[in-house]
Amino acid sequence: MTPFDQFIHSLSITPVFDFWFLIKILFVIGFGLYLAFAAIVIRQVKMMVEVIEGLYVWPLRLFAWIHMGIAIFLFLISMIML
Amino acid sequence: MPDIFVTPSKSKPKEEKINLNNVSMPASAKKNFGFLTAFALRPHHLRYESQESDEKIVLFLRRHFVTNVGWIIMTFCLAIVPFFAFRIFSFASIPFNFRLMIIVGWYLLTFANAFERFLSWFFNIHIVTNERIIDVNFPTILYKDISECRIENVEDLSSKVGGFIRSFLNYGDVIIQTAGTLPEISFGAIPSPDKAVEIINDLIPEGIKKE
Repeated sequence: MTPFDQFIHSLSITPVFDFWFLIKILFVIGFGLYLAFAAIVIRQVKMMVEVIEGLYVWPLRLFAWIHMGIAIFLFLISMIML
Repeated sequence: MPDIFVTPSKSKPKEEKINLNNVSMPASAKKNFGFLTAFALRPHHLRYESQESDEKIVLFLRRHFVTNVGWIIMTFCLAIVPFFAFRIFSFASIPFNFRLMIIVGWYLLTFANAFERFLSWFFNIHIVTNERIIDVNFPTILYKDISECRIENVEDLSSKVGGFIRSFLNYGDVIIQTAGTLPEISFGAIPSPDKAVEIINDLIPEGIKKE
């Protein structure tokens, strides 16, 4: 076992708290914050598009919405899978 | 009562009409306007949010695409980090589902960084119309910074191209000194800065141009 593996193992067997549950909470919070960021990106693209009309922005809008969908999916997955 | 003094009447100066036909058209600007266009002359299909009815966009500018090479390379390096990390380090103690989420989170952050950088390049634009010079800048998320000045207030124009890559790819900075509250507007790393200066100079009314 590497020192890193030994450290992780020692944390995961501690009787004080469930280490991996704490890590799961952190992941869920992290993906929740990322979800908020994805929503801000959509708002940002909308605000930018309003400044000048006529640019080819549909790929960016599509990417922003796909990005939002992936963020929602990962947020839900992190709650179920972890 | 007789008038003691009468102010001599000054005739209104003729309004200088900006003749768009005077604007020279470089060969590089004859290309069709594309998704990644950084220099476009008279893009008819574009419209600025506060554009007036008789105002026409003469020049559309962005930073040269090569300015994105830095973050593109960094994104590529970040994308291949997990492959090397899992070969070099042992993550056997971390459960598989957590390992998967770590990798997914890593790529999500990498994509977010690349997307933000691209949006910053795409929407930081400079527009020259027959009446105004507009600098649209989005320095951070949800922060919009727009600087404008009237063409008549342009005092001085200069272009700078320095360094091997900039000279080779012909991109540089244009600095516009203005007479308004905003002392200077600068267009950084734009393609063909000398042509941009020439075009803006052509737009300045003849009576206002200073030798």
